[in-house]
Amino acid sequence: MNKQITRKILIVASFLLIGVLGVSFRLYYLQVVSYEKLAKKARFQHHIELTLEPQRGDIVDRNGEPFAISVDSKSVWADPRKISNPYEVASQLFTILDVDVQKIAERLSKKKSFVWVKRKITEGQVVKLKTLDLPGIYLLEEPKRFYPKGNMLSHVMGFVGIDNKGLEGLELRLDKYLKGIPGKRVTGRDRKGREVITMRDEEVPPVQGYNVVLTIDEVIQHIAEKELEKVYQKYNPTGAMIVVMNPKTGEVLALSNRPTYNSNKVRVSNSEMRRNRTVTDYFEPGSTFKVISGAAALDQGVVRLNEKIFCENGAFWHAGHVLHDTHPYGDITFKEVIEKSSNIGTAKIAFRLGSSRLYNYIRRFGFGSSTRSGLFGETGGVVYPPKKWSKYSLVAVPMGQEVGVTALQITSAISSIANGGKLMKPLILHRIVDENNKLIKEWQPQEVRQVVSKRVANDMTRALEGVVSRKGTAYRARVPGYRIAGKTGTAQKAEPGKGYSKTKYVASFIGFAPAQDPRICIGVFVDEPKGAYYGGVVAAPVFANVAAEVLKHLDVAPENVIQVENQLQSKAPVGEAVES
Amino acid sequence: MQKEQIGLTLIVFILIAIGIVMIYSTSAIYAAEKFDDSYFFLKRQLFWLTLGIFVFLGITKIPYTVLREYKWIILGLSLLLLVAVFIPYIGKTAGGAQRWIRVASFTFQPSEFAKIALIIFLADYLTLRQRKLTHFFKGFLPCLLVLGLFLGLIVLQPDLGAVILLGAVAFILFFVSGIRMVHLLTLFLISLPVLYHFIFKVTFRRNRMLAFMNPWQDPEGTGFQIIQSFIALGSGGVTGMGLGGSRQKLFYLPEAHTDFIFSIVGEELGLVGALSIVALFAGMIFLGFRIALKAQDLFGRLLALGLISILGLQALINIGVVTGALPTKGLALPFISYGGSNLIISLMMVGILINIAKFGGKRKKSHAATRSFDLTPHI
Repeated sequence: MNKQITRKILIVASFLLIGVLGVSFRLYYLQVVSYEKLAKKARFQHHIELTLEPQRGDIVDRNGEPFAISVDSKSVWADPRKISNPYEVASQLFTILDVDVQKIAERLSKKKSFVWVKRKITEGQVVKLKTLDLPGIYLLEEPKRFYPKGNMLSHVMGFVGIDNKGLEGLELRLDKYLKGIPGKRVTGRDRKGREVITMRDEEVPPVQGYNVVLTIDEVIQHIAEKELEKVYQKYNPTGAMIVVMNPKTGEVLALSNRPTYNSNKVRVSNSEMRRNRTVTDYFEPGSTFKVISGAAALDQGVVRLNEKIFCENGAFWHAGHVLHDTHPYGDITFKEVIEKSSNIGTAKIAFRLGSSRLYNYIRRFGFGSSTRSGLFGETGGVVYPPKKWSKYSLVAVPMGQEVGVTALQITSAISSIANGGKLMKPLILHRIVDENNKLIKEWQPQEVRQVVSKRVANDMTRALEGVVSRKGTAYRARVPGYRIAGKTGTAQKAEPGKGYSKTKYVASFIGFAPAQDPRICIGVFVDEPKGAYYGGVVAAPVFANVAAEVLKHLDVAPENVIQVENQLQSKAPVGEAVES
Repeated sequence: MQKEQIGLTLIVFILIAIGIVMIYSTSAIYAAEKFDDSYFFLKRQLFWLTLGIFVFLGITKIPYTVLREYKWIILGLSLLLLVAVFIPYIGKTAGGAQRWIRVASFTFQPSEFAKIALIIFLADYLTLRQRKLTHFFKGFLPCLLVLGLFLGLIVLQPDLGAVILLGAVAFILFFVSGIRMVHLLTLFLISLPVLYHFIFKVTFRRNRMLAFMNPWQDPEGTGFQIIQSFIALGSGGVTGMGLGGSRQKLFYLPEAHTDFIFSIVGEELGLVGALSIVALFAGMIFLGFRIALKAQDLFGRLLALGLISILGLQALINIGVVTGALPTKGLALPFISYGGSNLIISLMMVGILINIAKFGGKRKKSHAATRSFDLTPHI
């Protein structure tokens, strides 16, 4: 009996031994055989890789005044694996963040470990969200783009998307410099998603983006914006533009467009408001182009400044058209042709020059090709080669018809006259530096070519000074105490299929100051002004106001004597608005 | 049997020491978060341990034969306690089960006490009726009815893990004491559909069963706990993450300080640590069986066999569950898991085993010839 019991006890013991061996094998299987697989799974659930957003570089003016900066903000994200009731959570989020319940609930139901709920929320929302403490909902630091000057220079700056990626303007163009390099943090987390700092095992800090320094001067930009806004309000045009350049370097000191928008509130803008018209739009410049044809003629020696030209008493037949001047002139000097903006005089000079030489000069002044200023969306405009010209073209082109130019092109072309005939490449970018101000890239003033001789440039400047006198078309462009040179333009707008409009004009004035040692060249363009349309009436006063303030800002000493002389020169009544 | 007494005591207290360390390691963060006191579970376990040591020391002093005299009282008390869990204000419900009764601020699990009571009863009954056991009505049936009553009450709580454990131990005792194999097999076959009913007609158990069969089917739902246990054990590898280095205890693995504490042991101490604990349990089982074989009388043998079987089986089942070899049962790992009732009862069982060992090895003349047993050749 006892023996039998002993035997049975040993049978039971051997079953338990099998159990011991069984669990031992099972442990070996899990901890040795499956180690790789399970350790990987463990890492997957314990670790989370966070992208550390780099701070986007700043965009500042030439004096370090910020135009685009990065500010701290927080974004809300969720780990859907930790959310069992997406609809309930979504409706709670709705009360704070004003998100679409249906959309968010769907996102929270995805089989992912990371989904966005809402990016870049306000401080108030952060506080409310923290008090709610929803499981599976987290906050992440994300720098946000901010444009402290609002709509100032917005056309140049452009803007970024929610991912801080440049979408328009310099933000897009210079994205690779501005964006920086994202860092990452691999860290541990508990099941509730909280970071376990002791489990942090890899951290690559983000590299801040480079800062961009513009050639823009914030003070000048402010002046330009203010005056452009005034003319925009006064004449209610469809558009208005201003470009302020340093003629000696080609640096753009200010640039503005109307209509405009605020880079911080891109959502309430449309493409019409966001277009940087100074480079994206081309138009027929009208009489300002006479500076180009005139300079070409002087440079080729086909005319002298004081040479008399017969202006046909106001009506000139050519190629089946009759060409008119606003006021009839007989024999006047070439200087007066420019001062009074005679179409007939200009045409006659152009005949001497011929189409091919004229075309060459037009191209040499930079028309028909992009200035490559670095501004976003720049076009080259339209200049047809002479073989495509009609018989009438040699009359039309010299007075700024049948060519398409951008505001920046013509302003830079007039700048070359101010700069002794040297055409400078327009610059908007000054330099790119890293966060420690180490130089990464720099733009030096770049001479494109000597378009006309220095002597011709001086002659033309004298003629342009006459424009801004009582005898000229732009007396309103004068600035007390300074010699001003410039040219008006009042271009009829061509309407497809109907020829030139009798009511729609582009009024413009491009000038520089001081005439003998120019520090600034300003182009003002007003598209379809209502109530008045002459360049001398609409655009010239904008120039005068901006030039006066900018010269003061630049500490340019006034030249009183010459001012008096200038006034004595002419006794004629104010001869404004005498051009086509 | 000096060696067995010392060996068993040593093994059990090493296991308890490991348990105390691991309970703190697994529960500190959870306790700090839930009760704002990282020592919450440690303090309670130490209290139970102190109590348990006194109980253990006391039990070793009482000759196990005395237990026979109080068997009815013990059985009756156990029955009362099992009924008491269903009485409002005394019974305490947690996790959908009524397994506890409240005494002051502490809770006690009557099914734990029922283990001891039933084993004493069965050992005694099977010894007394040794010669009638082959007879179904006069031998087997009466004790089967008592067993049925107890298991029935426990299944009502419900605590199927305890029922299966007790059923298995009863089966072992029946088998060893000489119940006819025909009766045992019939009983086994009859119990199968009943078990099937209890497992597959109750949603959470069916889910546990399905999770056991294919945990990856629903890794976020039913399979979650077992998968988290795999990940804990697996990521521990051979040498482990180091004591306190578990990541799975950061709320990933549910019940990390109770039923699934062994997974965290495997994660922190690796295969080396896990196998060491298995070896300690194997050593405990070995010594327990030696005590059973050397016990001075049949009652002592059956009692020791029952006690070591229930301790050994519970340990093996628990480890089997956390390693995915068995479906989830809800059984604690003796001496290591957090839990007062289990610790006290386990210590009582060891106390009785030590006591049996004290008197063992010196057989009475009335029993079979004295000879020492050498286990190894038989296994």
